[in-house]
Amino acid sequence: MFKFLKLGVLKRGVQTKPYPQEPAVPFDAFIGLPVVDGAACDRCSHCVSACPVQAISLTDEGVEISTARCIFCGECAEVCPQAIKMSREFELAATSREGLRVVYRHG
Amino acid sequence: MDEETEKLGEELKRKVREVFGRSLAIREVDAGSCNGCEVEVNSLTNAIHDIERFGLHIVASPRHADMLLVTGPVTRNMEIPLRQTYNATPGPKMVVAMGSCAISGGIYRGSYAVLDGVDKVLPVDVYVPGCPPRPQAIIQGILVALGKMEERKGQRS
Amino acid sequence: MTVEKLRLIVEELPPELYSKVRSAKVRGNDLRLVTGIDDLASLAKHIHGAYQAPLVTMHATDDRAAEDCFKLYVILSPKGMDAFVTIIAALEPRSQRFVSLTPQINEADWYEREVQDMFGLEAIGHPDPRPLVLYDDWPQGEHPLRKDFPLDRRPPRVKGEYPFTKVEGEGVYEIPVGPVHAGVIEPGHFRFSVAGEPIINLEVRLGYVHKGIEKISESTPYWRGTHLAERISGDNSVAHSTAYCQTVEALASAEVPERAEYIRTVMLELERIYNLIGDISGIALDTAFSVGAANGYLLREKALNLNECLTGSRLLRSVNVIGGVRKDLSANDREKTLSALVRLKLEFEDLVDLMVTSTSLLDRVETTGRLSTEMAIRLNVVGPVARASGVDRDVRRDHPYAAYDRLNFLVPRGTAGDVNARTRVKIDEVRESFSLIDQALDGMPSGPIRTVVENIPAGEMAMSLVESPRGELVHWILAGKERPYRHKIRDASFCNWLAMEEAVLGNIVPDFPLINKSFNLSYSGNDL
Repeated sequence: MFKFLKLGVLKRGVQTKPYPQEPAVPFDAFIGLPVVDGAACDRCSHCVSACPVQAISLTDEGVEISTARCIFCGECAEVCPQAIKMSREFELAATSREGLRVVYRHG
Repeated sequence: MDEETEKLGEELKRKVREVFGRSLAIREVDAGSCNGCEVEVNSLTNAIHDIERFGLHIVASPRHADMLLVTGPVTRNMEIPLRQTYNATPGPKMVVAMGSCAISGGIYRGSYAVLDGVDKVLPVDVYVPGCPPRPQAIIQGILVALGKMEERKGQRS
Repeated sequence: MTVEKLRLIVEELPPELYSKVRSAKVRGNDLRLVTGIDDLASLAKHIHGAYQAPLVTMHATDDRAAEDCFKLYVILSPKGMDAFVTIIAALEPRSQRFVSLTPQINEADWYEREVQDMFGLEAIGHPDPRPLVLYDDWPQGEHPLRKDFPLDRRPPRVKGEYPFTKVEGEGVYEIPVGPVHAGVIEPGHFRFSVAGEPIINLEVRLGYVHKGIEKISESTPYWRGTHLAERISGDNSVAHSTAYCQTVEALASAEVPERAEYIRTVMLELERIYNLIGDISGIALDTAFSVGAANGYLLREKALNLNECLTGSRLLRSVNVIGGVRKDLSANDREKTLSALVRLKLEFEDLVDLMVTSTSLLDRVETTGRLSTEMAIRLNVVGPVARASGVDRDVRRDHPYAAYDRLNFLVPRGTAGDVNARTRVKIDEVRESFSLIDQALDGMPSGPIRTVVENIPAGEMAMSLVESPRGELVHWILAGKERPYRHKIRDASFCNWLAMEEAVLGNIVPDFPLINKSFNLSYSGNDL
């Protein structure tokens, strides 16, 4: 009857992770928000054409990434390893469309 | 657990309690997702993420819900059921658009069969980017939504 | 060897059919027969019967620009051969009708309804010509996969009503369920006709998540198509993207590095593990066996974490790329995988032990939702569902791809065809997957992981079959310029939905969620 104890329920202890009280740290490989190094960017627009969902645009200010469109595939970081890295940032929720724009300024 | 984390947890519980009286009922609506988002929503209730500890429940009917968690780009065939679900949800209610396709249509954007995002059909309170968003990102989205709801409640009174 | 066997098929044709074959060519392991539209049904029926060849896929192409006609493709897979027979028939110029195959080949049913919807070609003599994907509010004369229909045209809604099958009699009532369900699952409509408790008819109405993926793919360059393929059915990302990449690689006659094949195999099996553990936990949940469910979902979460640790994506996205894989598995990754799997295996066995000895669970799953072997063959059911009903078929063994021909594994089978058998088959498949990953990691050669694939010749066609956690799925591409001219996708679910209509008959309504869970079909993969 108490066979489920065999599963080690007692031994294992609490499995629940204390997010959001403590920050959740994804694995190193995790593909999160693309981060552009404004200083290393030479505005070649390779990332723009590599993006399968047109989430990247070059503006006067710098490089703009739309988290509304981004599917976190990593194509941009692959064509431009010197300026774009996929960070581990995942807490991207926003209450407005304006909050879904991430702008990396030049210089 | 140290003191600070305990305080944060208490803060969260307080927020939920104040706005929705102890608990928040969430109804998940798939409006055409690829079912990746469903995998992550299902993960929310497992022992690791366990959203029930905050009084957040995933409920079986929109009639019981305070919040609609909508995934998918809203297909033509799901537009009417989605509106009906929204209308069946009693107010005050919130809509969370979860995943890239719920926000902008994602990879399906521009197709004849999709409407490119939930906010073309319903007023959206919070957007949760990700393809799919990991469970912690969904929890964060729900918390952001709770903050917003509180704001609005404050305005009315 | 295969070529000779395929030639033999042509030679063995009865004279009256042989004279109808206009051309017969063998390309790789594919025999391509061209015939007239009026002889398509009889030729297909002959091969289907004589070689016990199940229908792999059936679809149309719009060749009006070049040849002023539509074409139909019927692809069959003769039993015991790693080969396919493709029958190609062009409709008469400007004609939009063909004789239905369904009266002869039962499993052609939904394929033909799909062709009717998407191309506007009428299948004469089809027993059930109702629309499948396009809804009653879709205007007449608009057919999305025709080339003159632009991707972004959104026709206005019209008035219409879908005629559901009516079951009448004393005490018979209907229970409509969906499209928005009580659980966290995808949308679909089920209409039960019930007399007392037992279900006497179930009609599944799908198409709610139709996103036009095949049409999107036709305007998507190949390199981008991988991302689209990963999002056909989210929990089968690797299976779909592998099938897509393999098809494009076959079009370009490119050789994928051996190491990439092994990495693909590891990823495919990781995907199978988290899916099937999820299914098994779902069965525990639906039988109200909470301890099993909680522990099962915990295991699944661990599997998902392993996925993220290796690839950066919990659902194994951005793994495949045309010509290989995107990220190598380092020695460190290998160690992490092996140690995670050792623990996962032990905990999985404990869970299985708990589940198969629980009388309350067995009471619910035994004899529930039976699908007989005859019915499984008649409907061409695929995957674990078919194997639980005694059908001995697995693409990994019968049409090997990636590194499967270099690895040892068993194809588990059941006989009873009930929920219990399906659960057991899934449990055994998880065990095989563990062993496959071990073998693949051991035998993985060093070397490059990616090759450049260029010059995809327009007008070529290729196909790839992959065994996803739900069963075999098919990608078929007719190449155009830089992108597919026609991309046919057939998920495993497309074959299995009709089987569910059969399996629930005579069961009580409260057992339906359990039966549904044991099939665990994808709505998104079905509707596309």
